[in-house]
Amino acid sequence: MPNIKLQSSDGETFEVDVEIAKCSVTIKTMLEDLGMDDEEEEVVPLPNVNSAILRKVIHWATYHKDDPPPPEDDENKEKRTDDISSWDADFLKVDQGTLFELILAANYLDIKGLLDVTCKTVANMIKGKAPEEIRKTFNIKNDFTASEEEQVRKENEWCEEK
Amino acid sequence: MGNNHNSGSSSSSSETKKFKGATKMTNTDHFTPVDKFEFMGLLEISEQESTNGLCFNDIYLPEEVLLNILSYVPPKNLLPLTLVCKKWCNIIKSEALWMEIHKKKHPNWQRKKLPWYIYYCYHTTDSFKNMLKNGNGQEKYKHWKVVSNEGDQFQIENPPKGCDPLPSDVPDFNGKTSCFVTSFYECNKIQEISLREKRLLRYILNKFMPHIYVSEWMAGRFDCGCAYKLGIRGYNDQYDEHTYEELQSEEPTLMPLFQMSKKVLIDQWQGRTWQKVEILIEEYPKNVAVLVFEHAGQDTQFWKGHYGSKMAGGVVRVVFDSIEPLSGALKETSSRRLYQNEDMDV
Repeated sequence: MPNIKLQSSDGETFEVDVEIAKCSVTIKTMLEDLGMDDEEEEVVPLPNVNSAILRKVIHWATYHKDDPPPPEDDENKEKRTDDISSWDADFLKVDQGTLFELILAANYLDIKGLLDVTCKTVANMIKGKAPEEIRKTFNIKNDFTASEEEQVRKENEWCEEK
Repeated sequence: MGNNHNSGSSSSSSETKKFKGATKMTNTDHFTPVDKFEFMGLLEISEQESTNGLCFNDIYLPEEVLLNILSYVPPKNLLPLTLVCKKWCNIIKSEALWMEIHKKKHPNWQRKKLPWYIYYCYHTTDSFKNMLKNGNGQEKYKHWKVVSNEGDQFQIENPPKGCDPLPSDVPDFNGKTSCFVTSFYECNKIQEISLREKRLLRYILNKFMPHIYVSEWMAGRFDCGCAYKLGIRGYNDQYDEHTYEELQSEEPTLMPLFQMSKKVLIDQWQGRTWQKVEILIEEYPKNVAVLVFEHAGQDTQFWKGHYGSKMAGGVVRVVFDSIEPLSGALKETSSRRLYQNEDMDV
């Protein structure tokens, strides 16, 4: 299998199997559009991803390279949102900053599988928490005026069925 | 079919009914009445605060990424998160988020732009599911009010006698194999479906008039002719203040907002197979608060026993798919929301 070189924002170069790199739709399109796979010593610059994060992304993509394509859409099967494989759960036992940087990288590189699993991880972090706890965890400001907050609270109550 | 609606409910039960209605009203009093309620629309966010809620300990996530994260939070847990900050509130109360949630649950679904609260109602309540209970008599006569019980009266057969068994592949039966059967004079019962506590559903009925679908399976015996009637009526919230006799009298004290019924006559030797009788209400006035499902039957040959029509698997359902996608015709708040969400809806 041919390799290509990916260069992180801080200048580090990673040699990766082309097929693994192509799990990123962004890289795949780049290679196809620019015909870069003909050149041997071509380096793909990834100015939005630093080396620590790129290393993790390649680690994830290498582990998942033989994953079957997502199953055919089945109308009758309700999709679950908390189905994170144990390997992925272990892989994502990282500090909050790294997790969000992985989300940004997955979003930029357009790697659906990685984006889904990282977003699910954050969704699981917030789903049972009170607003105040969430604001504290992520350093978000409460920007409601008292009357706006009251209005939102009232509308929510009205919508909720007991 | 006999029109003698004999009084099945005694005066004492109608008194209980009145009492119940009164308590319910005080419970819901502090909520804005459905016909006065309006959604507030998007919150104004100033320039300086436009990234608040998108910065997670100083890492900025684009709005569509936060939307993607929130789409994985169970729908029932989402509303409390509107109180985190204005940005989260606007995203959570956007149709873009709820279309994403809906798409994730139903991958083949054709995207359709509806206000967020319709999807919210669909995903967090039973409002768009079958609202009729105990349709096969699996819990005897629970949830039903017998209005007339003539001849040898209603009975529950499991499995049905003198006809085919219930089709096994029909979801309306919930895997149940039993049915109701009628006798040689009219047997008639109703089920009242109260939408009183379902504010959001009533709001949606008022604003979007989704179709109301009613159906039931019926069959006769192989050896006896029979008659069957399926009916649906819709009332406003004054229903509880009237007794069934008052509503059914020559000069009813409260007129239904709509009513529709279908009758089926089956000749002797023509029964035995199950058929589905369906009613679709496509238009109705505002302020529907109670739906009354009614079915009745008897045999046409006056044979002693239970030779009348059989019924099972009743359905009363508000049809989610019949709701028209948003167009310019909506009120100010909704259209403003629609406009502002265009960017988010990639």
